[in-house]
Formats: sequence, C-alpha cells, structure tokens
Amino acid sequence: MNATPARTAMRFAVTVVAAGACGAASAAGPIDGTSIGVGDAEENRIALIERLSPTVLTVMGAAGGGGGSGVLIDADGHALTNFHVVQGVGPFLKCGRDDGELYDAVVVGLDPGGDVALIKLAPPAEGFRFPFVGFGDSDGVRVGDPALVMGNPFLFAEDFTPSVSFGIVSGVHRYQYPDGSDVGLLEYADCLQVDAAVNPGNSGGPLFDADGRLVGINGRVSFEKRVRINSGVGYAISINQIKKFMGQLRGGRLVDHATIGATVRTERGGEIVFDRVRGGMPADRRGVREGDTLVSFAGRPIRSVNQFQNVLGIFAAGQRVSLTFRPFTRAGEPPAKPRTVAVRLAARYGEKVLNEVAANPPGQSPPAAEDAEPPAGLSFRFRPGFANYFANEQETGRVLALLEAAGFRTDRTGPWRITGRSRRGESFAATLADTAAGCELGAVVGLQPLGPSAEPVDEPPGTGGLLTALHHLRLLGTRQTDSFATFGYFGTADPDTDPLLGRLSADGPLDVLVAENRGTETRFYVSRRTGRLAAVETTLDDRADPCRIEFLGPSTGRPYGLADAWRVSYGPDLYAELKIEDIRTADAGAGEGSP
Amino acid sequence: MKRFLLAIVLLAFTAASEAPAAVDLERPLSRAVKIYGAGGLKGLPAYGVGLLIGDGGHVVTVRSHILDADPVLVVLDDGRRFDASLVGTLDRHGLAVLAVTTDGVGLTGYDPAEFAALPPAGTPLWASGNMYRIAAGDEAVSVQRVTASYVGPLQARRGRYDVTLPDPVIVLDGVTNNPGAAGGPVFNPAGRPVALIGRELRHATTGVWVNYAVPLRQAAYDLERVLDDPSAAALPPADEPEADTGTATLEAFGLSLLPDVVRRTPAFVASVTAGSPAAVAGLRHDDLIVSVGGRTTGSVREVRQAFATAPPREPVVIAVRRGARLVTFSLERR
Repeated sequence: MNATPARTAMRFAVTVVAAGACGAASAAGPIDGTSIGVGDAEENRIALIERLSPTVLTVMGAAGGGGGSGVLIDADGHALTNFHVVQGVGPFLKCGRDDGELYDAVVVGLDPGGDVALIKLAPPAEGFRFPFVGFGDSDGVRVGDPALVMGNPFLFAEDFTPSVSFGIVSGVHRYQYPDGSDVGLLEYADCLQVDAAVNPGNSGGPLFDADGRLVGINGRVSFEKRVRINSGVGYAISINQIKKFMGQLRGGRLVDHATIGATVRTERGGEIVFDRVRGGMPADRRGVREGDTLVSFAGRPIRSVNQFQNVLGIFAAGQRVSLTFRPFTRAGEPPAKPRTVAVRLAARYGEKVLNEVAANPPGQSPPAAEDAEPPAGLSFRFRPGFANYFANEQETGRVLALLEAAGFRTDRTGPWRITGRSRRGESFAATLADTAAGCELGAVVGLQPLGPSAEPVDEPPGTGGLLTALHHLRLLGTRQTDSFATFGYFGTADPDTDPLLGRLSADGPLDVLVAENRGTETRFYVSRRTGRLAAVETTLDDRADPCRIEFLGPSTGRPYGLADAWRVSYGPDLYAELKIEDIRTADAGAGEGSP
Repeated sequence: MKRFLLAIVLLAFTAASEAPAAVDLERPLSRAVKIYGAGGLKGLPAYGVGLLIGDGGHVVTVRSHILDADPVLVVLDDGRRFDASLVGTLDRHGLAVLAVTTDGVGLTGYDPAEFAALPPAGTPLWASGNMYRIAAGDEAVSVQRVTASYVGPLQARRGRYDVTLPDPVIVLDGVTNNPGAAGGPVFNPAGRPVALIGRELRHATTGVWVNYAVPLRQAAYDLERVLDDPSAAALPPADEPEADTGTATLEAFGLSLLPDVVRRTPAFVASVTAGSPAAVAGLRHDDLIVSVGGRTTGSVREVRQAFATAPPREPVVIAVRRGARLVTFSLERR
C-alpha cells in the first residue's frame, strides 16, 4: 500500500460495498502477476485484501468457547463457518469484524457431516447492510491458482483484523476421511488443498480465488506427527458443495449427507465394482446388483473408490443424481450395455445421530439454551431435526407467499373435482374429499380412503400413490397444512442437475416444501422465479419410489394457477400424461360449485 | 481435473518491469509417480514419489526404507499401476533408480539432460509430493510453491543416526518434507526438474525437521549411464551404513529404575552402577527423576522415552527430587 492510511482505505471499501455498488468485492485486476507487472499485482492484491477484510469474521460462542473464523455471504448478515467452530457452544454466538466491533449472531443451519454452519449476524441498526462476498466456482479452480486465505489464526487479532496468508492451490477434488468418531462426521469430500498457511483459528474462514470470490471454507489441515500448526497442507470445503446444501441451511435444518445404500471396491484391472447393495435402498431400487460396474456418478466418471466417496460426499440426502452402471456379465460374454438411472439419495446419518451431535451441550436434548432469550434482532426456536426452526418458519412463509401470489391457494376447503383426458384418449376424473380420494382413468379405478385408520396405499395401482399425492395437493391448496404431521421448508432443487426434473428447467431453481404424514413424504416444488407450483412428489414409505406429478406448460387460468398438462410418473417410469380440462372446488358443505 | 496450464508469478524475485514466467505444470506433474513400498511402522510412511526418466519405464527417487520392498508399486497420474524393482542406488547422490517390471514400454520420462542446473538461493520452485497420501489412483500429487532458501551442505540425522546427505542440498522455505513427500520432484519456473524432495530428517544439531531437496543435475551423468546400462548402478547395500552415535539408554549411564509394573510407575532410581556416569554425576538410590533433557517426566516409561530421544553426543541433563529438594545433574556420555 502507498501513503494512504490502511484504515481509511478499508472504511472506504466498507462504504462502497455496503452501498450495494458491488455485493461481492471483486478485484480491480489480476493479483498473481500473470498479465501485468509484479508491482501492479501487489497493489491489486493489497486493494483486494482491504476490500475483503470487512467480510471476514472471528466467530466465538456467546458465553465463550469455540473460536474460529467465518465470512459474510449476504447483506442480511448470513455468514458461513465450520460446524466444528460452533459445535457445543450453543445457538448464540459473538462475531468480531475488522471494524473492531462484536456482533451478536445465531446459528441458522448446520451440516455436521460436511462441517458447515450457516449463521446470521444481528444488524447493528435497522436497514444496516453488511458487506459480503460472492460465490465463485470451485470446480473451475486449477492446481497452481493463487489461494488467498483469511481468518483469525490462533485468535491472535483481538481487534478482529483478519490475518492473511497467500499461496497456491496444491490439489483439487481431494478427499479427506471423516473424523474418528463413531458416526464419522467432518468428511471433506471433493475439497481444495492449499499451501497457504491454515492454522487453528482459521477454521471456518474463507478461501478466495484471485478475483476475491469465495471458493471454499477452510477447515482442516494435515498435522500428523508434527505439532498442530500449519504443515503446508490445508483443506477447504468447496463452495460448490456448500451451494448444494445452501437451501436447507437457510431453512434452518440439520442437513444430512447421502448414501445410495451400496459400497464399491476396486477390481483387479481398476474397475469399480459394486460390493454390497442393500435391499430397498436407492441403488437396489434402480436395479443395481452386486458385481455390476460403476461407470459414472452425478455425471462424473468414477475411476477409484476414493472418487466415488468424493462425489457422493458433496450431495445432500434427498437430492437426485444420475448413476451409470454396467450390469455384470460372465467372462466370455459380451459386455453389457451401460444403463443410466436416476437415484434419489438416502440419508447417511439419520435424524437421531444429527440431533445428538448438534445438541448443546453435546449429547443432551433439548439443548440447554432452548429457553434462552435471543439477543436483540435475532430469533431462535428449538425443534429436533432443525438447527433453528425459526429459520424454517421464515422460509416456509416465504414460499407460501410466493405460491399465493401466483394464485395457488384459496380459502375454499370443500372437495375437488378434476376432469381431463389422457394422451391416449382415456377420460380422467378424480374426486378429492375429506373422507376419501378416488379417480378413474379409462377402465382403471383407484380409491384411497382417508379415515383416521386408513393407510396410504399405491392407488391407483402402479402409480406409487397418485391419490395420496392429489390429496396432499388439496391440503396445501386449501390451507389445511395443519393436517400434515409435519410441514415446512425442505430446501432447494435444481432442475438442471436433478435428472428427473429436467422438464421444469424453464422454472429455474425450485424451492421445496415438504410434508410428512403417516409415513408418507410429499414434496412440493415451487419455482423461485414465478411462484408457480411445478411438481408434487409423494413417497409412500422411505424405501419406495415416489409418485410425481409435473405441471407442465402454461397456466390457463385454472383454479390454483395450475398448468393443464400433468405428467404422472412412478419413479423413473411414465404412468400417464393428462390434459386437465376442469378443476372444480366447493366450499365445505356447499356441494358442487364453480370457483 | 488435469488442466494444469498455469501462469505463475515470481512476485518477490522479478523486477516489476519484467514479464512474469508462465509455468506449465501439466507435463511435469504427469511424470511424477506415486510409489508404495515398505514401511507403515513406527511412523515411517510406506509411500513416496518418484520421477519417470528415460523411455523404458525407469523411475528416479530418493533412497529410503520404502524401497526395502520388492517389488514396489508405481502408480501413474492416469491411474495405471506397475510393479517396479530397484535397479540400483547412486549413493553419492542419495538417489535410487527403479525399473517397472511389467511392460513399461511407452512410459516416457525426462531425459536426465533436461534436469536444470542447481538453482541459486532465492529461486522460486514448485515442490510436489504425496504428503499424507492425499493423492490416490489417478489423482495428481500435491504441489507447493516454495523458494530455495539455502544451497549447500547439510548435517542431518534420523532418530539417533547421523545421515550422510549429498553435498549440496537445496533447503526450501515451505513445509515440504512431510510424510510421503520424499522423492517428489521439484521444478523450476521453466518446468524443468531441479531436485527431489528428501526423506524426513532432522538437523543434526538443532533437531528441527529440515525441508530440503536433493539436486538431480549432479546425478544426471550417472543416471544416464544407468539408463544405458543398469549394471552401472551400485548394487544396493544390505544395510544402510549409517553411523550410530550412541543410544542414550539408562543402562549406558549406569542407572536402573524401579521395575516398570504399572502404567505410571514413578521413576525412582533403584540402583546406580559404581563408576558409571550416573555415579560420577552423583545420583543416588531413591532419587525421583522428574525431568530429562528439559522434558518433564512422570513415569519410568517417559524417562526411558526421553533418554532414547535425547540429542546424540551431548550430555543428558536430568532433574531429580531428593527429599524436598530439586537437584540437577548432567550425565556425560562415554
């Protein structure tokens, strides 16, 4: 830096960023001297660091304890850090920023398996906008790229001015095994390896690329037999993994990682072969058998066991990815053709384990802080399965408001009568009432009783529970979500990466609401952009494939704003394509009526 | 991810006006191979790195215990696996040459003539290695950007043994010599091999872990001879001719402690051999040893460990509690 006092420069940067001129501090020019003189590169780097500094946090428990770093990711004060930084210190935190101030903060969402925590800082005044950084693309990071690490190593900086270390990316798509605990948390899959110094206290802090974009959250180092300080080998959770979990984290959830219910091994010759395939689990349901060869997973070719764990580790339970495998053939037989299937990932840890590891103090539930009064400007609500149920209520309310604005919900609670025609020319009619749901499609008749003792079943047969899906659709549309055992915000789904939601790509990213009832789970996919209900998906039990209704094509002014073209499928298989001609609803007890 | 085309800076070492060098690490790293062999006990890693040389499947690496296995496994950056055997060692250079025993035709490596000259201190370098066995299968080894800090002779030891290192070596400013990094090729800004990361060693006098690399250029002539005629290499000696500078055992000092029967047996002196260093220093029956070489010791076991790892050739300073007093003694080595 030249004669300009650093302090002033930093304040200037805060002003610029906070004013929203640029949310994420981006570099004025290269900082690695690739295309410019070294002196300019240094100047750029110094300027970049000054612009990034106000976004870097020191994170501590409100009552002491913990201690690490973090980084602000939006103007509302959401910030990322490591799960292990906030584990066991309670839901309330204190965060230091480079202005020397301490901010109250609360835990929003936790990913114990991936060692990520989303927290939220209380704004010091109404309307205050925090400076924040933008996300980069960690899959675009190359070995040798500049690596800028910021944080508060050893918690040296008592005024919270971040420390900076600078180096190169030493490796990409690295895999670091879970910790030694029984359940195996803190797995770093597909992570970035850097030679910039990462020390205790850097945990949770940002890894930036040359343009100041967030590409990772620093969290682990290799110490082995040396002392617990930097040995030139640090690891950052890739930001692309965190993006996949961000919806659930914002929804206040305890996020689970994924399994396909199968293990793989390396065969002689280097093929990756399915070792154990558990019955009823996702891989088994898609026809994967022991001895089959794994070719690719989530679009990435798999050439080692490490790689499979690497790719699997970056997904959340409930997400859907493609899997390509080659069925086993005996020696001498011609090799079988590879098959590509869509697998919905099952939960790896389960809610019980996650509740235990996230409990505060560890092992106790409900947490001791349940009744604690949150600091001003922050809210916290305890509920098993959630890091902060208040955040879930907020997100649920946001999506319901989106739906209503798009015309989906009415106050009418009476039965629905849906009529239409299938693509094959059969007539379709469904009646949805409080006591039963029934439908006819050509000669096929389905009936789902809805009394207190009625179990949800596969009706009409071979749909995976179409009538239950329609019933739940009606409960959502008629403001009867209280009838679900649980109802709330799940997270997000991306039609561009979910192999079964590709037809909805025009809707852009989807918010997902989830309802549970009598062992069934129903997901409502809502376009974040238009508020349109894009799909409903009901799974009768956790070992079954879902029945899915996609609402395709333009809305034609039908009640609830639903599109006319309904595509009904069971797992990957198409059941019927329906053209809806009429949806009639009636107020309770008022008989048939038009909307 | 194998796009290693890089452009990297010489931030500290080029004039501001000078165009920075671009380093293409793809070719260099594609010729670094992962080696798996003997080890795995006593904290000795069973894995290291080597560099493909010649065009007949030869690998140059540093001499280490990993090569005690025969064959060793060599894994390329594309995941291909080969068995390899030791062809011979170049003791003067601290290097060893392996040859793949399974069909190694087409495994193209560096011609030793490409090895870069010894870099002066201050040269930026890119050091590779498979520290902590991070890379497996077709994954590339790790790279760190470092600087040659010192080029010259180095006195080192491993455990209690003095180790003869080739002269000179290149001391690096990064933490490069982690477990599993040994043999990792070090490249200069032009992407040419300069040296191989040495095995884990401590400095002979200070005891700190040394981050250093063994230069390749000095060995180029010998390596070319080995490639032309493998019999030119020295046959590996049966044992490493390393000088034992003396284990510091309690017995050597004439000390015997209480029998070590429980996990934390207090380190009371049971007897002192007459005329021994301990007797000369003035130790007595019933002294309680509370520290050795500055390390606090709480049990017989810890005392034994502290003696075993005491710096060689130096007197061992111990503190004992005698009655209510704390007394310090210096035990001379014989």
